[in-house]
Amino acid sequence: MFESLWWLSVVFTVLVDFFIAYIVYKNNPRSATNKILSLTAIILLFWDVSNFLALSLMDQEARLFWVRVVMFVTSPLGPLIFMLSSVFPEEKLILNKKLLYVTIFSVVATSLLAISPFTFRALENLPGGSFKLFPGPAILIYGFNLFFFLSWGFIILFKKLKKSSGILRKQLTLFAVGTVSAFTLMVLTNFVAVVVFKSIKFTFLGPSFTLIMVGFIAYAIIRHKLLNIKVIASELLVISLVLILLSKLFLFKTIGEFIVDIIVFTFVLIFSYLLVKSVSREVEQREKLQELTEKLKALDKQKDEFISMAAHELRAPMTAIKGYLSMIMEGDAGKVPDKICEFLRGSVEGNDRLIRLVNNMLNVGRIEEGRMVYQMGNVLLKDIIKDTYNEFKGEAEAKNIIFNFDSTKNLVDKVYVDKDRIYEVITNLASNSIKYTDKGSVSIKLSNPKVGLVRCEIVDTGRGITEDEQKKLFQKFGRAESSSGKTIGSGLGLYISKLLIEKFGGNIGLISESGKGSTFWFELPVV
Amino acid sequence: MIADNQNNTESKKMILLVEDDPLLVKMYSTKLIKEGYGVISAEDGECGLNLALSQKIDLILLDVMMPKLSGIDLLIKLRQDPKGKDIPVIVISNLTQEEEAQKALSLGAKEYLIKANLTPSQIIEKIRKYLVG
Repeated sequence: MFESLWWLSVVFTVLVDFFIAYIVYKNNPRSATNKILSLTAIILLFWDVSNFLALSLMDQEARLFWVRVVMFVTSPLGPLIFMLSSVFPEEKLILNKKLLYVTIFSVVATSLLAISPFTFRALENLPGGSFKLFPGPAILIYGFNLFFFLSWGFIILFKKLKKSSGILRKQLTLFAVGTVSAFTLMVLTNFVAVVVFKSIKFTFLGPSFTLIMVGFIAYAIIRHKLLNIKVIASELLVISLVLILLSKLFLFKTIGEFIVDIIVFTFVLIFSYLLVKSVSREVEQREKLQELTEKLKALDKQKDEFISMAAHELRAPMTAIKGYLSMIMEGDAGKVPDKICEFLRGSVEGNDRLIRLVNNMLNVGRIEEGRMVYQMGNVLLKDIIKDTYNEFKGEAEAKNIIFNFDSTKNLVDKVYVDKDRIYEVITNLASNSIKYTDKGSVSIKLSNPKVGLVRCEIVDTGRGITEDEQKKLFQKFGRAESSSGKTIGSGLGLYISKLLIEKFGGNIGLISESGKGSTFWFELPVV
Repeated sequence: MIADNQNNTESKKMILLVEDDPLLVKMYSTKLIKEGYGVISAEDGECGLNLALSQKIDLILLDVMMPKLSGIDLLIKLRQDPKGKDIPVIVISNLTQEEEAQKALSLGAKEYLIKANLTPSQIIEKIRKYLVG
């Protein structure tokens, strides 16, 4: 029972070592880290096999041979761990050339000595199936090669770990934990116990410990390139399936069985090829998509930065125009004749329209993406509308339109909104109504249609809006035509108003008929 | 750096205007003086910080994008100094980066105003609010 389990564990370890060597190498064949780890996994695989043979064979000479093979195969392990620690997780081999030659020389010398009688000069079978090993003088060279390079490798690893941060730190931690624990255990059971305590009792465990190290490291490297695992895994699955079916072809009992096996094999081969191709394509597409997404994000960021800068630069002169015009109209430079005041009002309106346009262009992206920061507070809608009324009464007068504001008795109009944003909404709606009304009136009305709700209506006697145009209006860049047939506006004002009212928990809408004027309305919950 | 109307400053409230655009400095200074305030102006953040800590200032009108020291950095240094930590500050800017607004308000600025959206009179109304008493 124990022997079957042992045999199974050996087969399992060999398969896992092979699997990991394959995956790690295919993950990035150009990377020195991946190549060294792959080589380490292959060497551990050979160690597993030769260790098993040394322990399971009964013939003394054969055992000694395989023990020497174990020493030969494991000579590069210490230096490999040292090289892996130096390179991990880089792609290029950045070792000092002299150091590299010294390492190679050490490995070659140790390996040659390993298969000679100078490392283990003799083996004696003991009753019960065990054996005793007699080390030679070169065991010290083997030991030095192993311990020196392992220790150096661990020191490099810990130094790197101390200096690192982020993902690299996580990877190095996994690497360090895996390597140190696995190798400490392996050295204890397969070298110290054998050479110092002359016991081979635990040597069968050695190769299994390698799974700890290889597993940790493979996970550390492959972690953020997980997508490629799909292709490799599907390739391996397909190879295994094809090999199993191929081997079955040679085990047929009848011609009929053979024909069936050939047909199954052919189909599996075709579909396996298609499967691997489709998985590769999917992975490739996903990688391309990721690349495009990164590019888009970068472009989006650039666009935002450009708009912010442009808005900032445009606003500076607009601030000066707004400021000086207001100061003239407030009489800071002396009394201003009415006619001049009238003309100045035109400049103020034009400038304010420009400012609103810049604000809308700047804000639309932020509001859509939820990046807008709102300064919420309780606001009396009446106050905001009074400000709006004062802002637009000049423009309305210039067009000979009656402009008034009306609210019902006992109005409850306290709402929880961002004061500047609700002002923006009302000015957008009022500005639209006045723009699209050439004669008659524009009225702003506040009412409570039911308890807990306040309704603001902006009613105009303009040309009205057709059903088709109504559908476009609250959409981004949706615009209507004025009576002169030209489209006016950027198409952002109503869209932004809709986003804002909905953000504040309200509703916005329009009632209109072509030729019969329009009523833009919004409702908000009262506080 | 310009120091305007510093005569008879005992009764006047002194406003430090830290703004690098000369057009806007002239505009705000004119209005502030007309409304009875004393005005000291600085054309960059470094000059502004020095004045804030060396002169008797009742309120600071602070721009954000400026040479040598930005408005936010000025505010950070101002709050680290015992002489400057209690001076009311109103940030006036044409930048609408939320991070800047949040930073300014977290550093104790009373308001973060967009210059282009307000007339000088409207800004002075805000100043009056924070200079009561």
